[in-house]
Amino acid sequence: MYYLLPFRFERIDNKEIIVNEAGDFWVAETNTVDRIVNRKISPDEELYKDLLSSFIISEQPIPDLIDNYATRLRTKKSFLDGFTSLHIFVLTIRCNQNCIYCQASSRECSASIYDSKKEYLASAIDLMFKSPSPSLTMEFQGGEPSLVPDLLQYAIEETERKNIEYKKQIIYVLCTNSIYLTDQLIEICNKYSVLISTSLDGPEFLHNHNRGKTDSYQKVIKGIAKARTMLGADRVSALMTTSEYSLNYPEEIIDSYLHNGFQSIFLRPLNPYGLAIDTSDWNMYFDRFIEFYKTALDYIINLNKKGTFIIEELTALILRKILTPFPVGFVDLQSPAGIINSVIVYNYDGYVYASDESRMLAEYNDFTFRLGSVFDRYEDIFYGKKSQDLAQVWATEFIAGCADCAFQSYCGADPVRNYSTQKDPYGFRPTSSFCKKHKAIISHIIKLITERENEVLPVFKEWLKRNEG
Amino acid sequence: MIDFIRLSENQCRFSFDTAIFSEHIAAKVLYWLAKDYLIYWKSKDDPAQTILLEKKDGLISEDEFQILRNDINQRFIDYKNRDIIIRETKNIRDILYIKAFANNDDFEDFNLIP
Repeated sequence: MYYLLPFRFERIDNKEIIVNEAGDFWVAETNTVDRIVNRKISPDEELYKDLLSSFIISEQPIPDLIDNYATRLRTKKSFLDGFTSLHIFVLTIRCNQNCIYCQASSRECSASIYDSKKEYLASAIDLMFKSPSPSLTMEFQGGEPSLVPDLLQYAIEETERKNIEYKKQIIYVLCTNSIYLTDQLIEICNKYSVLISTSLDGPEFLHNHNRGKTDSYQKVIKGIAKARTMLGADRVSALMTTSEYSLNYPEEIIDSYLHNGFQSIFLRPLNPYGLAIDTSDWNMYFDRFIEFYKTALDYIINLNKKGTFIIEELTALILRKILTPFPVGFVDLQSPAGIINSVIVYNYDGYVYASDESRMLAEYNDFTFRLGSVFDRYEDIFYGKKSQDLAQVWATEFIAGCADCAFQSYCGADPVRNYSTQKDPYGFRPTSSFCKKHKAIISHIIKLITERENEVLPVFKEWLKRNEG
Repeated sequence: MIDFIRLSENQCRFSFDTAIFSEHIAAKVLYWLAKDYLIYWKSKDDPAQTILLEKKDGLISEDEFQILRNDINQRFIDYKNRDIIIRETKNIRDILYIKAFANNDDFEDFNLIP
């Protein structure tokens, strides 16, 4: 007779995926869970020992190694230790591009009423320093933040000045399309070790199509080259967004990343905010995105097998959750959710929002996730009524459809997206594109690990090793 | 699950015995069906509960009916197992989370009690 320990399970094809509370997974034959639950596993079976060592069953009511198990669980959730560490500053929502899927509701280039004010930035920086986190990431976003270099310089210098007292470790990130990287901007980036996060959607025809311009690609490539030369290649990274048009070109997109000297790519789907909300059919889009992802991942794995090193970042993040005892700092896949716990947004309008997506909703006059003004008290914003309400729906451990899901440890809760797509922060998992996408991707990765172990694991292990470095 | 039958081109019906599957388990099974079906739940005096499913959009083909029957049957078994796991492991899960996240300093007073 043995005792059960907490675990969840899911069926994939003809197998059962069993996942314990710390996120260790185990693939079993059909009917195994039924046998476990009904005490049909005999101590003579090899399976019995596997289940004991995997914390699925125990010979004592409280297992001897419960303290070790608790430490592992705490480590998995250690992204919560420092509370909010990513602080996004939206310096302006003016932009010099015309992206067909713009999620940030950017405005015309000359409309300076859409710029932040220095007094907003100063107050927001004070709020940022109240975060208990010993290390902070200050990310500058837009619109296009390179259009307001003076605000960027002011925000960084003000932070540096105040940090003499706080002594926190600060990482600066400039999210830019790299089209307007002037010498002044490069000098700021050089002086304060600012990382450049840029956008590259793929080959020239595709990138220009997505940007709504005919010359965007050449300008971006030129900007990336300039940043690499002046700042160093390791200080420049790129992100792509998969428009409906992009779905037709998985291999071309990856080739263009390699051609432009990148060793990683993040296959990011569209998010249902801003102009992207007009996407014709979200159900069909996500079905196609999942196929796009699988094709692209297969192509990337084959490239790696042939000696070309390139990481697919979403897969690497999920692999880290599945195969290592460590958490990941990816706010989209966290429980409790990334909003407030890991990320906060100080918008150009002087208000504080729960996440990047929250401020995008505000551009459509929906202020559901506006937590307060930059002039409010830290406690009233981060622990106020709205934050407390969000806390009721921000953990996969207790929301319907997620609480029983085997992939709970690998996935996350996203009340803002639930609200945006389903008009309810709690969300309804059977029609959730977030749920559909992540279930499909996590299932696919687990299938790859189990069915093509010898082929994919050496590649995946390299990715994890490189990301640790 | 008892008497899974097709009533019309877009409706089917089944019953379940609450002595075997609690209403709580049935609710979890039906949650995932709510995307495609309207659900009518009729409670009788005896332990059997009757569920009528009406497809929201389109008809239920013979293939779909067979898949649905097998799928619902499997889901009832799976959610019953999940229910057993949750019930039997509630205390150990609580202990695990308390050990993982409680501030250990809070327990020092207990050690001082003779």
